[in-house]
Amino acid sequence: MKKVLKIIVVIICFLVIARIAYVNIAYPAADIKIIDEDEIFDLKNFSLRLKEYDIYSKEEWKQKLENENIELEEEKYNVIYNMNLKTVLLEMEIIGFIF
Amino acid sequence: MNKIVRISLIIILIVSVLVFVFNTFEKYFKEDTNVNEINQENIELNFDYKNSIVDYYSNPVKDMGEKNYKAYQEKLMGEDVYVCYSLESPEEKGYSDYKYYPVRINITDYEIVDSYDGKIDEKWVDISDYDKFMLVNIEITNLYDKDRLYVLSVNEVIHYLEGTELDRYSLIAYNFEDNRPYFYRKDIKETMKNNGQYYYGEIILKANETVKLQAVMAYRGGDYNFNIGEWVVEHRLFGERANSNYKIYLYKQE
Amino acid sequence: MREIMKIELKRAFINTKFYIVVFVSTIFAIGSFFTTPGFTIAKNWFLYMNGDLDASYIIEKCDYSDVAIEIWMPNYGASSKFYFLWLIILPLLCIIPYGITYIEDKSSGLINQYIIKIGKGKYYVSKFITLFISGGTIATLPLFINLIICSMALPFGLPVRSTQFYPVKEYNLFSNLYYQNIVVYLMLYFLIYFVVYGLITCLALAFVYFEENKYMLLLVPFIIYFSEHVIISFGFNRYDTSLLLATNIINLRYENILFYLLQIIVLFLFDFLFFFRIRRDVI
Repeated sequence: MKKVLKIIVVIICFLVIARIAYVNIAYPAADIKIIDEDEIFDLKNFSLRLKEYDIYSKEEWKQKLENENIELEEEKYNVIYNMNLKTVLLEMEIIGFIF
Repeated sequence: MNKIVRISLIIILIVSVLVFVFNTFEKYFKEDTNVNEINQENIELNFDYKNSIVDYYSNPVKDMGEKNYKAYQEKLMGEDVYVCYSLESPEEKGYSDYKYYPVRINITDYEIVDSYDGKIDEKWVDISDYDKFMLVNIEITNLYDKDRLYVLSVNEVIHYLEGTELDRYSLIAYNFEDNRPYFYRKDIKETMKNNGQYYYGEIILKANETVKLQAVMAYRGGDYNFNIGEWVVEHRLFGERANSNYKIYLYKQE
Repeated sequence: MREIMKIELKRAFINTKFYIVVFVSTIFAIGSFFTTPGFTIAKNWFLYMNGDLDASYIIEKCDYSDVAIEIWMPNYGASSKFYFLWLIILPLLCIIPYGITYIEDKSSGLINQYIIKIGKGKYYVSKFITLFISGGTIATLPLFINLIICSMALPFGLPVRSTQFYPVKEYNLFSNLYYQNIVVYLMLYFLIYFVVYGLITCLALAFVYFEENKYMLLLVPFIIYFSEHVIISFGFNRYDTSLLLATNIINLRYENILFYLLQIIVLFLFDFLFFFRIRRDVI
C-alpha cells in the first residue's frame, strides 16, 4: 500500500513539474524583456523594430519635466486619483470637476 | 482559576462570533435606505478617506458609515457635483468584489467622424494626435426600483459594442442629453489593450430611469502608432520599471 | 537534543491528524483557485492556447500576459470565500496534529520518562520548537499548493505595476520588492506566515497551566486570534491591522507596521509564559 502511494506521489510530482515547464515555455512570455535598438520584435501579425528611443532615469526625467514646465496633471487640473489620496474629505474642495 | 479562564474564553468566543457575524452580514439585518432621504441636520464629515471613496470596488456605505456617506453625498450635491458608487448587485457573478447593480446598457449607434468641436473632459489628451473621432450613443436604464448611483465606465461600452476596431482610442468626453452634471475621476489603469485610459462618468439614476448620453472617443484609425506619452510607461514588451516615464515611438517594420 | 527533536518532529508530522489537516488544507487551496476570478483568467488562456475563437478574441486584444502571481490565493482577500474561511479556522488546523501532546504526555505519564532522560529544559524547548514548526508548516502549506496550481495554469513572471491588477500599492509593505524581485518577496511572505502562525499555535502551550481539558486547549489559539481580530477591526475600527488580515502582507501598509509588530511582540511574550512556569509545574 505504501509503495503504491509513493508511486502515485512521484507520478503526481512529475506531472506537476511537466505542466509547469510546459506553461512557462509554451505560453506567451510573461517576462519583462529588455530590447535593444534595432532589435526585431515579432508579434503575431506584425513585427516591430525599435527605431529610436531615449532613456531617462527618474531624476533626469523629473529635471526634464521641470525644464519644459510640464506639471503633474493632478496639480494642474486639480484632479484626484487613487494613489495620491491622503487627506481627509473636509480639506479637499477639489473633488473633481464641477460642471 | 481554571474554571474562570475557561468561562471567560467561552464568553469571549461567543461575543466575538456574534459581533463578527453581525458586522459581516449587516446588510441582511438592515433595511436599504433611499438615496433621496437625506437628513440635512447634524451631519458629521470627519471620516478617514483612505479606503473608501476612490476605490471603485469598495462599498462606500459600509466603509464610511451610513451617516457619513449621506453627508458626503449631501455636501457634494450642494455643489452640483454628484458622486456615485455602484452598490451591490445580486446578479453579478464571478467578480464578487466588483459591486455593480443591474443596469441595461443599450448602444443605439455609433459613428466615426473626422472632426469634433464639442467639449472635452479629458484635457490632457492632445486630440491633434488622433485622426478620427468615434461618437457612441448609449442609453442606460436603471433596472432597480430604487434610486441608485451609477458609475459609467467606458469598458462597459466596449464590452457591448462589437464589430469595431477599439484598439486605439482615448475617451475624451461624455455628453448627457439632459446636460446633467456628473463627476468623473481618471482611472489610471493604463493597459496597452486600448492604448488609453479608462474614465468614469458618475451619475445618479433614479428608479427605473433611462439616461441618454454620447461618449466621445478620439480615435486613431490609421497606422499602428504607439504614442505612450509622458505618464507611467511600464510595459511588458519593453522592460521598463514602474514609476519611470519614457517617451517611446515605434514604427512598423519597413 | 537532536534525538528528542527527531522523535517529536516525527510525532508531529507522521500521524493521521497531520494527513487529515493537509488534506483539508489542500481542499481549501484548490477551492480558492476555482472560485475566484483567477480561474476565469486561467481558463481563458487555456482555451486560447487550444485555439478557441472566443478566447482568442479577448486575449489578442491584450498586449500583456497574465502571470501566476496575479491569480494567487491571497490576492483576492476576503472576497474569496475559501481563502477567508481558511484564514479564520487556520489556528484550529495548525494545532490539531501536535498541539495537545503535552497534555497527553502529562496525563499518560510519558512526560516523567522524558524528563528523567533528557531534563526539563530540553523537553520543553523541543515541545515548543516542534509545535512552532508544525503550526508554521500547516499555515504555509495551502499557500504553497495554491501557488503551484496557479503556476500550472499561468506562466511565472514579474507583476507589472501599471496594469493595476495587483493589490500591492506603493503604501503597502515591500511594494518595490514585489515588483522587482517577486521570488524574494514570496520567500519573505512565507517566512512571515510561518513565524506568525507558529507563534499563534504555541499559545496553546502558554495556556496549559490554565486549561487542562484537551479540547478546550485546541480552541484557545483560535479564540484569542479570532477575538483579537474582532476587537481590532470592529472595536478599534482598525481594519486590516489585526493578525488575521495583516499577516497577509499584501494588505499591510507602512503606517500600520508598528501596530502589527506590537501584536507579534505581545504574542511572542505570551508564548514565553510557557517557560516561566516550568519551575512551578508540578508533575
